[in-house]
Amino acid sequence: MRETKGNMFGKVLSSELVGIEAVTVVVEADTRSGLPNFSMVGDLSNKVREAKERVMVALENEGIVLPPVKITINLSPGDVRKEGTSFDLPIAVAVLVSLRYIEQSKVDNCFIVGELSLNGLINPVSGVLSMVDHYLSQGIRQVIVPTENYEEACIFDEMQVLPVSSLKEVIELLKKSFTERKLIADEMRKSKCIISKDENKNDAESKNDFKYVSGQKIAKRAMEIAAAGMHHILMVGPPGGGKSMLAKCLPSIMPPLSFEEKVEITKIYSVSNRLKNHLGLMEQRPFQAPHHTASQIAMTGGGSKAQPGIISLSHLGILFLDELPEFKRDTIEVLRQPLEERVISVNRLNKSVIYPCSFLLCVAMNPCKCGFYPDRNKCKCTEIQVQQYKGKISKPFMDRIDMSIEVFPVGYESIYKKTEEETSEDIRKRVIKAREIQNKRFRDEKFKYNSQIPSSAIDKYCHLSETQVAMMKKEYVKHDMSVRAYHKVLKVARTIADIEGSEDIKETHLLEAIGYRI
Amino acid sequence: MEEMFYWFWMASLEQIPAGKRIKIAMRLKLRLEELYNNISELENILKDEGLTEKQTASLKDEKLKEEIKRKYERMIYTDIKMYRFIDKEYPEKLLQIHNPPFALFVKGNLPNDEKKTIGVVGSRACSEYGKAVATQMSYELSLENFQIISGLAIGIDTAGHNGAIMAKKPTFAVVGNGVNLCYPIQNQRVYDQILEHNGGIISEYTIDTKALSYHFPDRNRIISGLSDAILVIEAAERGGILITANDAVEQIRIVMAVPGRANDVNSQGTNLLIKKGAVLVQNSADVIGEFYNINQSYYRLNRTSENFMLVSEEKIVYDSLDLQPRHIEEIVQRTGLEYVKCLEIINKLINKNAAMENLKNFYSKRLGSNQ
Repeated sequence: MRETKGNMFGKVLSSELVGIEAVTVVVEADTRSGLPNFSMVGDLSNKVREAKERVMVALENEGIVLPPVKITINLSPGDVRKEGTSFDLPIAVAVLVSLRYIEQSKVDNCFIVGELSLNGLINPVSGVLSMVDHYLSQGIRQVIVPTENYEEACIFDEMQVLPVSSLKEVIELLKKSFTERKLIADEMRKSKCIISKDENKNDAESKNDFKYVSGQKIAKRAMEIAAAGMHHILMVGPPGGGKSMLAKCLPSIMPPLSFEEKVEITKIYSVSNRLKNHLGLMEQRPFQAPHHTASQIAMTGGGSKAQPGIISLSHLGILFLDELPEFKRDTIEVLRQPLEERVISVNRLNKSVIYPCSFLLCVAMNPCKCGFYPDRNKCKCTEIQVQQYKGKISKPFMDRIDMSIEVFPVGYESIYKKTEEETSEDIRKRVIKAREIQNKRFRDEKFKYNSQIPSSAIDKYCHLSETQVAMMKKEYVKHDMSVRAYHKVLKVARTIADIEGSEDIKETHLLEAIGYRI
Repeated sequence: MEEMFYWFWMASLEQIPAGKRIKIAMRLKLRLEELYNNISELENILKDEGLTEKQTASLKDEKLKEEIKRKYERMIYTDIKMYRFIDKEYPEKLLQIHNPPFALFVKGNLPNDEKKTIGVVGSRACSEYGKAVATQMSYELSLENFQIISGLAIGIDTAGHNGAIMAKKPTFAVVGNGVNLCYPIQNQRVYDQILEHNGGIISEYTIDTKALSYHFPDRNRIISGLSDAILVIEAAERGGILITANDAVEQIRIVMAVPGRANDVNSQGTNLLIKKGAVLVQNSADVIGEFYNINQSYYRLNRTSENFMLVSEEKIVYDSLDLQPRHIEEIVQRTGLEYVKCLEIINKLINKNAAMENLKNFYSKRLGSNQ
């Protein structure tokens, strides 16, 4: 075999997203004498292919004239479909390495993402957090990211993050040694983190608080139970009853997010490019309230890039569906499986991705078309119409909802009563307590919350005394319950007992739970 | 072909008013076979009776005759009976009204002529209170050997039937469609239960006839016709109920109405009837008193009224209840008690038969409950 002369090689680490996780992509560049050409291979989408033009123009605008050589770019592994624009910068760097503008050893322990614009400036990309997480597990400690992605990349303390805003800066940085760059990164983190930490805090917290909801004692109580046991909840009531308000306050009584949870949420938002306003780690539980015209794909996720849908964006938070019967039937029915599995797998032509979607479902609807049933002075709907309106929501979907409450507009007295309403913080304390009891009780089980107790374990965790069994037998007949409905009552009663700090379920807990039946 | 078939054929011709059909049958000396076979010879009689061309054409329609024949053959294999206006089983009371049906189709039984019959009518979009009143009164009247008759419609009608079914007594539904069909379909259970308790489904329409809107006013005249009195429970100011009440007056039936709150939509009609002279009834004792002139207070004492004793907090909750259902939130507000405590007490009241849950989390006093 003949030894080829004059060919040079450069290799840069970068990353591609699969779902919310990232995988390693090595960008290789080879330059050799031959007919001047710039070709790219490695299962590339059109977006990645366009990088060629951006890279060539950006390099020339930085004053780097490409010699008339044959340049080949390979993005390995070759069997992972490459999407997105985060490869521009690593490609440019790989080319520079192969042309000996930058030494290979300087880029070895560092991974690079970024999109180039023609004048050599660098634009932000999505999914940086997932990439950082991935490379940390691979033992890589340094990253070059666009300035806009800085906060996000800084979430893990172990990573040395170097923000850049132009190609020139990148070249400067890469002329420095690894240790020099580490010092720069550390310096930068010290000065920036102080500001960003408390900026994030007082965001939505102050606006939606149960102390601003006057009256509605029972509804608030039901919300507390729903949050404590992760019971999906349905609110039925006339327009103007305050259903949306109650739902919006729901995140404020959920236990605070752990660091792992925050990272998981931030990853999803980063991947779907929704992090711009938040910059750093997401501190708040997500609250998603899609409009009822939302499509099935918008709900589950999909599209050409298999993006996360609304249910994944509400992961670890609340999915609120207002005016439930107005939603298209498909859109609602598609929630059935994710509600059970708590993950959704999105299948596209060239991708199959699994997104997490463990959320608390909160739905609201009017009791009938006009909204005022059973107030016969206002409601003119016939009984058939009322049934039909309810019938728009299928039984299997209703079966997945644990609690149902009626919400009515409050009277004038409760608006003007001077009594202090309980704050969300007080309610949250009780919720946290109930969660702790559950964590302790279910430490050896696969499930975490009362709402997830399988029917086989009902007897074990929701034990009733003999008198209670007699009472429930009566109620079972009276309300024409199904077995599933009966189990739901028991689970909700279990949560109420946990909130009250009671070891056993008491009669009053059962009575209250019956009041929340569907 | 047997004679009954020709009657069935005539009964099927909805286009010709029942009264005219009866007259024609009388003029033909009940030999409907002649009309069926040689209609051309009898055309002057038809003209005499003022039949329109369309109506005459329907008598001649051979295709229709075929169809009716098939229907007839189907009917004789079912348990549906046909009573012609000349049959002795045909209710006496109906012959007294000015426009009796040509024939009645019955699944189950006809009402017993010797018993008093009450037609329970009211709004379809009724309140829970109206429903409770209808059920309670029908229940008590049934126990006192009154027969409840109504129209199998949703709302008050269904509640009326249900009351009688609860008392395990026969109740009768006059419908505006073929008696083999159940309309509205969600009342299938009521339909079945009526038959289970030896009641009956009655109609002047042949089997498989669809429920068409113009059938219902005609249906209502049969309800009032078969009744000794009609009991209007809830009615709006305008609508079929008041027309039925007018029919009843024309048929010399007693009209009774249950009063309602002054400004409820569903009490406008009943209060108007009372204003115009309908008998005001508040409970079943009032209804019975209208027929038997019994000392009402005596009667009421002897009824198995459910007496109960209430302790202090129960009394507070009981007093906060109304006959119109109230939501638990409202009860909590009125009593000032804790929500859970309130639930507990209401449950006790329900167990003592003093209160009832009308809809989920809506409670009301139990009707006829005396403290």
